[in-house]
Amino acid sequence: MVARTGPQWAELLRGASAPAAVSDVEALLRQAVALGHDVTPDAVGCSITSLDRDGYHTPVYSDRLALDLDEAQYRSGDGPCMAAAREHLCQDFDAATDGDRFPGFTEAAVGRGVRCSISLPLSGTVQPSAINLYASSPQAFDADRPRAVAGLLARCVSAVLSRQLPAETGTPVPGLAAAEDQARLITAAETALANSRSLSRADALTMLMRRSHAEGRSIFDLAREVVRGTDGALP
Amino acid sequence: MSLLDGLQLSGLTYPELWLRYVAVSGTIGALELEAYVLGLLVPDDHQHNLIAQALNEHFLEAGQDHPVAYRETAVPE
Repeated sequence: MVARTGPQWAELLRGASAPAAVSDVEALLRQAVALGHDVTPDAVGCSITSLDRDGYHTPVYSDRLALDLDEAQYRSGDGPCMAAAREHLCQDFDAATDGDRFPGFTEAAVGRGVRCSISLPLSGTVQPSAINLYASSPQAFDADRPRAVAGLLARCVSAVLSRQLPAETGTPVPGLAAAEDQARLITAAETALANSRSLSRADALTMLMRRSHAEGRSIFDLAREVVRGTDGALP
Repeated sequence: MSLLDGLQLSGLTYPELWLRYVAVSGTIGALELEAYVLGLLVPDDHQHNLIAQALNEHFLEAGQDHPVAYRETAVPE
């Protein structure tokens, strides 16, 4: 499955990778909640909930339905969006089983044809916040892909809203130094092959990958042989 | 096998896959990698093959032989 919204995702990812450079945060957040409809085919709305001194509010939403369902929670005093922001925990809501937990919100959701939702806390924001996704079918967010897309969307929005890089790019990552050591080996082999065969480095890397596939061997073993000059088997 | 199917079969997390992708000399960020695997962005052939290689290295370690498909790219012989 390939999203038709690739350019919008690319723009959001650029913003999340360099949040300090985003010139119009509100416009990018509006685009992000519109992308909430990519999470699953049955997604019908997406919004952001924030808690400030005046209480919960929805600064950005994809459509009227999402705003209405957020406000139904604020009026009734509780709901999955509020719980996600307040407790900083992901909240899955199923209208068929969670009616006792959030009765006011459940009535509003069912009345608008919404059967489930997922609310994910946003990280690094000054105000407790969450991104909310609503869907018209039960268990719409249960499968791996919808959950992964929702998680990616939440991390992008967190970065844009907090003006901070996501944690995995802003702090030391365990294992990264070892991965970079391995990358240097690959790069050295690429360079050696490119020089000896008059190839671009990209073509040299493709040659290594092709050989790895053909021989069922690790690309790192092949790269070591190239670097040591014992790559007689390579074309 | 697609990138997403490969990831699901491998049991790797996205951060683990990103480290493996960096190890095969990939240079894009973790968020972008995730978007490619999920089909939200379409990688070019080179990026696709790097991600496939990162997954296939995991499968090689587990005794399986390159189940994730590469894209054909022309390389001068």
